Order: sequence, then C-alpha cells, then structure tokens
Amino acid sequence: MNSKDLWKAALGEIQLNISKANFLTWFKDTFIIEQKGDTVSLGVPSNFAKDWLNNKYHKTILQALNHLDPNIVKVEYIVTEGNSALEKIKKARSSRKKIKEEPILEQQLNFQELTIDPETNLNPRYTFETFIVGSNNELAHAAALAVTENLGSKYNPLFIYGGVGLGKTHLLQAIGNKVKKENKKLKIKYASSEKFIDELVKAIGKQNMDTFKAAFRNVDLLLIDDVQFIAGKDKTQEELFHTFNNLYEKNKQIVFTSDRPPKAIPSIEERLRSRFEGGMIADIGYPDFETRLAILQAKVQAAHVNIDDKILRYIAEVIPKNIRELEGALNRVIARSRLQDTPLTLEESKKILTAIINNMHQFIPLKDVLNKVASFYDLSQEELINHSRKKELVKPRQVAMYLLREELKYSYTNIAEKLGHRDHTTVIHACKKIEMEINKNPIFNQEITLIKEMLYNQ
Amino acid sequence: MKFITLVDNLRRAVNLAERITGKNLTLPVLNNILLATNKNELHILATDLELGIELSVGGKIEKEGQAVIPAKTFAEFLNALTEEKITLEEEKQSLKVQSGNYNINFQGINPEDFPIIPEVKTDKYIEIDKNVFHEAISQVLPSIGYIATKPELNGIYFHLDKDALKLVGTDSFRLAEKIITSENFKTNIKNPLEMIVPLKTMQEVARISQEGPEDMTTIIIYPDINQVQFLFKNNNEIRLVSRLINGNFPEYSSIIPTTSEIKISLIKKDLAEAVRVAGLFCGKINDIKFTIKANQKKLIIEAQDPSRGKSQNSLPLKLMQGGNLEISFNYRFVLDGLNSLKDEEVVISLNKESNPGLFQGGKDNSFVYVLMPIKI
Repeated sequence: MNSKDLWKAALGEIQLNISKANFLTWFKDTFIIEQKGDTVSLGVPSNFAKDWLNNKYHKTILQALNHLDPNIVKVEYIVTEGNSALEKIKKARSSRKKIKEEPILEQQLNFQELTIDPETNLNPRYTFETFIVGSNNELAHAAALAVTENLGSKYNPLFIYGGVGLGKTHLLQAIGNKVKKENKKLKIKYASSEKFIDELVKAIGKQNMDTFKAAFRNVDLLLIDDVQFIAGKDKTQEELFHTFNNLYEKNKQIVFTSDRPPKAIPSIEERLRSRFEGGMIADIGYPDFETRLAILQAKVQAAHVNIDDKILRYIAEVIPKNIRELEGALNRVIARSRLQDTPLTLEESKKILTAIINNMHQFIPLKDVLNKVASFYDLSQEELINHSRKKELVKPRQVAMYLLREELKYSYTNIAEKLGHRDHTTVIHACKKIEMEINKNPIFNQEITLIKEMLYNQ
Repeated sequence: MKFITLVDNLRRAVNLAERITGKNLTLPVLNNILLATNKNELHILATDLELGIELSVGGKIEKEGQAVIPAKTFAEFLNALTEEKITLEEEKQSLKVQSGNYNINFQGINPEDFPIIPEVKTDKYIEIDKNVFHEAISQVLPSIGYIATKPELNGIYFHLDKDALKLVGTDSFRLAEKIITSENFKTNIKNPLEMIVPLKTMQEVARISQEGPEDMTTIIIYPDINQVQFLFKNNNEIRLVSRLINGNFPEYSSIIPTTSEIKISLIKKDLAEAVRVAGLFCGKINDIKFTIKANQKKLIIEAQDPSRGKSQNSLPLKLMQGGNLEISFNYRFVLDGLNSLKDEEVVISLNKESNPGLFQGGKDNSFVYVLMPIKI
C-alpha cells in the first residue's frame, strides 16, 4: 500500500470516530509526507492543525494507522506550505466578486512588475482564448497551437513575423502561457531581444557568462520577441546562435518573432539567418474588416459597456492597419460613453475620433522618408543621394523615389531635384521598376510594407 | 470557575477577542471564546484558525475552571452593561453571569472542543515602541487589498536587515514603503529576515495598539517558522499568534521610480482638500485629473460626472520642475497616500501620463507612496 492509499484508508477509519465538522476542519489538506521505519510524518496545513491533531486526535490517528500497518508506532506532524481551507473559501468568494469589478480595473493601470511572472517573464493577460483568429493570422495561430502540443518536435524553430501592433507578442506569450498552464514543471523563458542583449552585456560586465548561459540554455521553451533588433550586434548574434544550437540539439522548442522575414533582416550573419528559416515561418498580415470588427466586439464585451454596432463598424472601417490603434480608438469611445448617460450616437463618436483619424493621414516630411529608407538598408543619407551606381545603393535609392511618389505624391521633377539633381526620367524608370518588382517578388513587397509601416508608426 | 472583575476591563478584552472569532465556518466552536482562569488572571482566547489571540484580565478568582461561550452575544451584553462589577461562574458548560440586578445564563459548549492556540517557541525578537509601530503599519495598511490570485500581496511584507526594518504593502495599483531605522527598535536577529504577515493580522495589531490598554507601550515581535507572534506588554499581556503567508514577495524596488521628468511640491492639506472636493464629482471609475501648468506654477485638479456636474480647483506650487502634464488618478488612492504622509508638504514626482507617480513628504523621507494613474 502506498502512502496515499494508506492515509485514505486511515482517514476512512478516523472519520467514524469524530464528528463531521471536526473531521472537515482538521483533516482537510493533510497527507503523509513519508513513512520511515516505524514513523509516519504527517503534513498539516497550519500550526493550529498541528497542535490540535497532536493534542486531541493523536491516539485516534495512531490507532487507525497502526491498525492498517502494525509497524507504525509513531506519528509526527509537520506544517507544510500550501493554502489553508479558509484561504480557499476566500478565494472562491472573491473570484466571484472580481468579475464585476473588471471594467474599472482595466482603466486603472497597475504595476506591470507584479503582473509579470518573475520566472518566465510572461504576462498572464495574453492567452489563446483572447486571440482573435482571422484570415490574416490563421497560419501563425495554427502553427503556434501546434507548437504547444508538440513541444520541440513539430515546428522548431517557429518564426512569426508581421507588422507593428498585429499581435505577434500576444501570440508568442500565449504559447508560453498555455505551455505553462498545462505543465507547470516545464521551464519557460520569454525575453525581448533587447532584454537578451541587456542580460548579455551585464553578464560580460560582471564576468559571469555561466549564469547567463544557464538562464537561457536551461529551458524547455525559449521565446524571443522582436529578434530583428539583434541586427548589427555581432556578439549577441554569436551568443544567440550558440544558445539556439544548444537548445535545438536537446529538442527544446524555440519561437521567434520579428517585424520582417529572416531574409529581410539586414546585417545578420548568414548562419543565424539559415537557422531562423530552418523550421516554420508564419506571417501575420493586416486584419480584414471582419476580423477587425470581431476584435472590437470582443473588447466591448470584456469592458461591459454598450456600444452601438454601427460605431464599431465605423471604427473598423477607418482604422485598417494597426490593431493597437484600433483599440486606442475604441478606448476613447468607451471612455466617452462612460461619461454620459445616453448611449453614444455614431455622429458623436465620429467627432471623438476625428483627432485620431486625421493624425493617421499625417504629413510626412521628405527627410523622414530618406531617413527611414537609409536606416532600413543600413546606409547613410548621403549615400542614398549621391551618384554612385553601386548595386546596393541603387535599389534603396529607387525605393526612396517610389515612396516619395506613391506616399507623398511628389512630382517626378521634384523628386529628381531633391535626390541629387537627377533627370526626371530616372525617377519614372525607378518607380516603374519598383512597382514591377513588388508585383513579382513577395519578399520585396514585404520590405516595402515594412518601410511604410516605419514611416507611419513613429 | 468563579471570577469577579471590573466590567470595563472585561469589556475591552472581550471586544478585542470577539473580532477574531471565525465566521462562516464549518466549525461552530470558532464563534466562541474560551475563558480560563490562570494564576490570578482570567485568560480570554479566540481564534479563526489563522490568527489566535490571548488576552488577560485581572480580577479575583474564587474557583479555578474554564468555559466556552458565544463571543458575539457575550460582547453585546457587556457593551450594554452600565454596572461596575461582574461575577462569572461556570456551571455544567454554561456561564452564569451576575452584575447589578442582572442574572444571565450563557449556554456554552465543551471547553475540550476549543482549538489550541499555538505557542511560539523562539528567542528571536524585534522590540519596538507601540506608537512607532502603529504609525508605521497604519501608513502601509491602506495600500493593501485582496487579490485572490496573488496571496503573497495580501499582507504586509517585513524586511529586516542591519540598517532598518522595512514594511511594504501593495494591491498592484499602488505601493507603500515605510522604513523604520534601526535606532527605533531592538533586536537580536543578525541575519536578514523577511516575512509576509496577513492583512487581517496587521489590522488587528493596529486595532489593539489603538484600543488596547494605554500602558502597553511596547510590542515584541517573535518571527518563527510559518508563524509570528506579536506580544503587547505591561502587567497584563496580549498575545497574538498568526500564520505567515507562504510565497515570495515580488522584487518591489524596481517599482519605485528613481528618476522623474516633473517634480512639484505643495501644502498637503490644501491638496487633500482639493482632491476630496473633486472626488464629489468624479466619474464612475473615481477618476480625477491633475493638470500641471509649468509656466504658471500651478496644479489644476478637475473632475466631471454627467449627472453631478464638474469641479475645478487650482493650487499654487511651491516647487515646479519640468514641463506640463495631464494625468488622471483614482481620487481615493490619492487621498490614501496623502493621509499616510506625515508631513506638511507633499512632493510629487511624475514622468508620463501612463507612468506611476511618486508621493513623498517634504522633509520626512522614511515613507514613499507610488501610485499608478488611470488611463482615460
């Protein structure tokens, strides 16, 4: 008989000898820690229970145990960690109460440091249940789910990429939270690449690389967010490469996110790039109208407010690209609707949102375009403008021309003038060429989208 | 058992014990208190199985013995009583009470069924002046709430090292930290010590400090494994034994902002009044708005509610560093912080509208209050 069955049988006997109330109060959450020779160590939830059992029921307990196993002649009581019965009752009660308070709590900000699990760095807010699946993210979502079910064996590594505010971090953290929930023993580590760099720098400074290595290599699931930021940081890349190999060899799961596909990340080492591409690559695109509406409806429901569907449709229509902005706009409407007694009309919400929407069609100065294009391709602005015909300069220059024409609606002559006094036909040629390239090459298309995003999301 | 004492002394002790008795539990014996003679005193015991209290009352013992009687009825009876003396006599599990012309009989239960309040067997102690300790815990207590998913936050975190005893509380929206420097207490504990004492226990310690006998000027804290004892000392003693909360208190120091873009200071009383008035007009989420006008050296406090109207007040600033800012707070949380500050002047350090605000006293730097804003 193992100790669990032994205690179960003993409890059955004890129950006959004492009142039900006493039994429930004092024997709840007790268990046998170990049985060593003639002594049984009994785990009890509190000092109160320890003293009580020892003083009042010691004989009953010993008799019951001795009856089942004649070898047992001694019982010890040890207070163990764990929550007492009272705390559980309180928990159940307050969790019911909490649902009501939720909408208030959402606006009252709290200390992120306390929400985030110190061990895994995960924020429990991000789960698969709150992730809304649409045609834009189906693949990424399915791949992420598959990863949680086949840790380390199916898609390793999983590389998720997509634009700003489309839910990469949400998906990444959801993977971690789900795995954590299903198996508490697994070690999970979530880190933004910034944090990875930070810890690496600290480890080098303090000369304890071993701790750093242990922290990142001693895990079952490693989640690295915004991995594109390691571009140009050689030491970090090297360390990530080794970390990757180490985990991969042990069949440990690795998931990356980035704002662009591995091919489009500038200045990373080829061996690392090929590792990124070695598993499954899934993208998250812009949500379609229906998905945007579904996101808004889910948010409204969670906030326990009543917002007309027409208003939600309007918001979903006018903010097509960024989910974070979508939520921002909705929050404004919700905040306003809390301030007044009558339901918000469509006209009123349009008025509230004009500021946001106008902001989206913002004016972008020429120097921003040049700046972003140059930094995207890792060039200086002078290089972009000068007359060199090096291949690695020509393409970015043409991209800059194309963007000035398409996004800023500059005239060909104006663009030619601004980009180093060229002929306007050069610009016409550049725009045509880029347009063709976009249609032909999806990776290049992604590049252009990313640059556009950088322009608008600053 | 037969015991004669003064009603006032008994009333005070029974009222303190009655608060601890358990409610809504499967074990009805917890709604009772145990009265037991011990040498020349009557000991009164109560517990809810997480927290236990033992108080002693002086008087004349004519016969040894003990009784267990319903706490609430007994306390309410004593509160109604205007007589000076009272005689308690136990007879067959019931308690006969005689005072003035009253003859009362409380139906009791078998004292054998009353739980044992654990003894704390440690010689490690922290000895501290009652008023110093009371002030410290009342500064920290308002910041603690009840969060079901985070039991480690549902109490006061004690951190003792060779320089100071730190008391910290947070409900994840705000955080209060009080530092008691080592010249204010005595201890024989050499190594750093940390423990989390449940909220209810600390509330009772605060209450006993306030309502208990005035001549109890010292509190001795005995930290033990899984439990802690608070001993209030004079001729008679009050002993409070509580379980500790299992778990690790979060690394909270990163929450307290160390830099600030904006720093203002003003008279605390004025700010508290303005916040209280604004609170009358706050929205459904208790939000009031602070607007800092750097060039006018002013803080404007506004609140608005569709059914009640709106209010605005502007206060002159003594100190103004940094630029303009609009930030919203829960007015109750602001008031809790201001009430906890023991200084005439309040210094507020801010960064962005979504970053926490740091509230400190102008001179006293033993207490800080960090508050997260409301996002509008």
